[in-house]
Amino acid sequence: VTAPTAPAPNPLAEGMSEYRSADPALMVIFGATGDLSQRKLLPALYNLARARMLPAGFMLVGAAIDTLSEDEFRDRMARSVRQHSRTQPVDDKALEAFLRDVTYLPLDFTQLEGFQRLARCLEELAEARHTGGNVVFYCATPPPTYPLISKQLKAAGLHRGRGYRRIIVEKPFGSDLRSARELSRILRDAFPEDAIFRIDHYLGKETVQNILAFRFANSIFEPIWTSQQVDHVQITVAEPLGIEQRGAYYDRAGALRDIVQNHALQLLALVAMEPPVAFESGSVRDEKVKVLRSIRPLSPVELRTQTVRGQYAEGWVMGEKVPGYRAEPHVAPDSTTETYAALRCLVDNWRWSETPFYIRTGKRLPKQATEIRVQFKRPPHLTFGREAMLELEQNAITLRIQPEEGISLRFGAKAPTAGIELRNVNMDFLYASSFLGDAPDAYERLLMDCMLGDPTLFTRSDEVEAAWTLVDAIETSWRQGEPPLETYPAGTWGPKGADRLLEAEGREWHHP
Amino acid sequence: MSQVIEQLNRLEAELRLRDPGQHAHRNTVLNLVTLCDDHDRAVVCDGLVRAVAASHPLRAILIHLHTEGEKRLSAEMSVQAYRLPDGVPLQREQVLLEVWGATAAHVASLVEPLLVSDLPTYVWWTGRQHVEAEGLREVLAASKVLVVDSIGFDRPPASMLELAGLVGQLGDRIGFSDLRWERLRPWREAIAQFFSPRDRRPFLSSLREVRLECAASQPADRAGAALIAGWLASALGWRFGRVRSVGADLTEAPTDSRAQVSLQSRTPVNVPTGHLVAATLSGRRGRRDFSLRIELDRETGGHAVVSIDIGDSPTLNQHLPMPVTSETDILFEVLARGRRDPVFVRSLIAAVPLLEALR
Repeated sequence: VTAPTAPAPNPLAEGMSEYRSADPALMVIFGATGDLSQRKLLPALYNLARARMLPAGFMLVGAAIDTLSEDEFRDRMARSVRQHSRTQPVDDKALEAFLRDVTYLPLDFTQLEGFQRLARCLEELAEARHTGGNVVFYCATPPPTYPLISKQLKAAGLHRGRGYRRIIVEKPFGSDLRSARELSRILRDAFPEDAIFRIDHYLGKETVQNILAFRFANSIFEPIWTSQQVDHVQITVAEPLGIEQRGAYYDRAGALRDIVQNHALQLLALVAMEPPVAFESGSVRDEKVKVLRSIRPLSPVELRTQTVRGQYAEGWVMGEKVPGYRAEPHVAPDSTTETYAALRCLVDNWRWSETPFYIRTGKRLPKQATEIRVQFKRPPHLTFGREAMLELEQNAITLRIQPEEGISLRFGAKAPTAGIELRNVNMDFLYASSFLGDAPDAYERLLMDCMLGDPTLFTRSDEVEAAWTLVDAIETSWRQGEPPLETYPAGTWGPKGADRLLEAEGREWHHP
Repeated sequence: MSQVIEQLNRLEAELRLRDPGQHAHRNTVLNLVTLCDDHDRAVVCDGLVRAVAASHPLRAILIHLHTEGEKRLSAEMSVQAYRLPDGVPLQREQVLLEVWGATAAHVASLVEPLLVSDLPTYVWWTGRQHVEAEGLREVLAASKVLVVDSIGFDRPPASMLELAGLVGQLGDRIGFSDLRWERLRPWREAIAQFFSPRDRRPFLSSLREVRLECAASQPADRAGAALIAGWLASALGWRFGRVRSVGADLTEAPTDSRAQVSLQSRTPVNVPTGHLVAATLSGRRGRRDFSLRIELDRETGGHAVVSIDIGDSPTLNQHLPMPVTSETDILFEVLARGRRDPVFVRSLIAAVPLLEALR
């Protein structure tokens, strides 16, 4: 028996983006009339079509509970694209051409018959559009429906066939370790792990991917990226917004589950990971999961002293008076859900031994800022004397994810005075002004990655479980009132406890 | 030139004093040297470079060469700091030099002192002929990339052959870009995409006919089609046999792979002369015929119709966006894409037999 040999690469594709080489496929979006689809997915697909990224033969099948005709769905879709596309004005001809490749199927997820109709529809489309049976199923539906959809796909025989079958699910992946494992079990009952794409759109952002480029494509930073040189790392995910219309969801989730379990820990993993062998899914995700597993479990005392939870009270944000969390719609008036979370963790490995990583995230903070600040140790000797260095801060590299994506290096320079006085200066790299062209939206990148079968920027089940292991321990302690919930006025940088967390070690939060 | 540099420094210092916040964000990423040999073109290029600079921080040096007349030089400089609508701060600097007489033959001595150090230098030759000009070669010594637009040459095949000669001499040291090659990108992508699926990869060795149609009124207008044919030949390892002209509207070239390549003229209607209007690739693999046809929709414009036939399945017709791209956008793409494009270089070299026939 001889092993099948991989076909030679397409010689015509040389010099072209790999995104031009996806095989023809059909895409089914469950929940195609929902908010995520309308705001993100459909505009992303339009922009891919406009940039000629979608392979010839591609067709979108919208599936949702709403009884709509194909024309009604297309009209709705056109409105969404016009309203939410990142490229404006919308190219009418490109939109019109894209809408020709869209169809709609009303579908009740509880009824197997609907999925059997979908199977017949996909079979006919595969034949007519030469897609070789390739299908991507996107669950743009509330997370509780994922198991049901996966089971129905299996029951209708849609989980396998000619070509590939892949399923995309959106975060949150479960609400704790147990439910995450159960979700993975159900998905894997229908699809192999390499066909399950858990999407955390944060990882699709250019600036998040640039963390890896910054670290591993430059020889000057990696040697100093260790506990020998780094004093500590601060990861901040701050939002001035409240919970908007998500009260019902948020009051069950809270900041820890909503941001720390996924976005913040993913950022930590990218900053702390060892160099992967290659920028491909196995290596990158292996290294990330090693970091997550290396985070030292917090003892009961540490859970009380090294985590902080807060809830915003009434206050002023960006010149507007805003209500407290408990006065928000769909929030219980006696809610103890945290809208702010901060914690200190240690990554127990050779590189980061005893270097604290401080994570904080919150709603109704003064401004939007997602950034990672790597703060370096002071020089071992004050060559210029204490007086000259009075105003000099430690060196720091700040990786700014949003807004104003870029990187800053802070260092000391001699002030132009007669004597020796040192001041802090910044070297700034701004992403937007250094590169031409629009960066693709995270969803555009991730949709194409899925069609190409590249899961590098998707979350693997063991990553999800490692993150939940850490978060579950904190949740358990918080449910027991340890530490107590603090309040902070909206528009401030969080509860006092968060400041004390750093002050206890002679440090302070950097204000973005 | 020392006065030019002095004035440029003075303008920068003034700007720094007037608006220190803006100036702090100076982050020029390249030098763009544009060489023009006629007045109309210089005016157009000035506008193009300004448009590119509006969203991209660069130092633009535009030189209008007059090979005749007394040796002299006039200069105009501007430095501008501003913010894009999304708040991103940019700075651009532009130097316009008009050069007469002997100085025009030693243009490198004007360019070098004006380059921002440590940044890649792109030289955009906008002349209609003489890619091999000595002055241009001198400038290339301090450059990373030569950019041309072969569609603007008076005699495209002849100038492209000169360019191919230059590639042979300098190809190891600098990169080459052709705006026409960028314009052909959507065509190349659509063709490559057709062969991407594993089960279609074998079709590549079974191609029997490649027909490339250009909006053309004379053979020289089919140089773009020759470039696409060169791309296919270099990627697929074809060698062209004896190239022959069949009347004024058709050039045929057999290949050693049994594929027949034809370059055909179509009356230019709603498409600028020299632009590709259709491409057909067809063949037979086993018992299955296959064909891919991409044709510009010349009635409504802005997109092409892609028709795919494989075996007995019904024809799949799809609309592919193919918007008319402005020269500014194309230049922007070239500058963004990087320095070396070995695929272009190989395609140009492979197209030489066809270009010679079209000359």
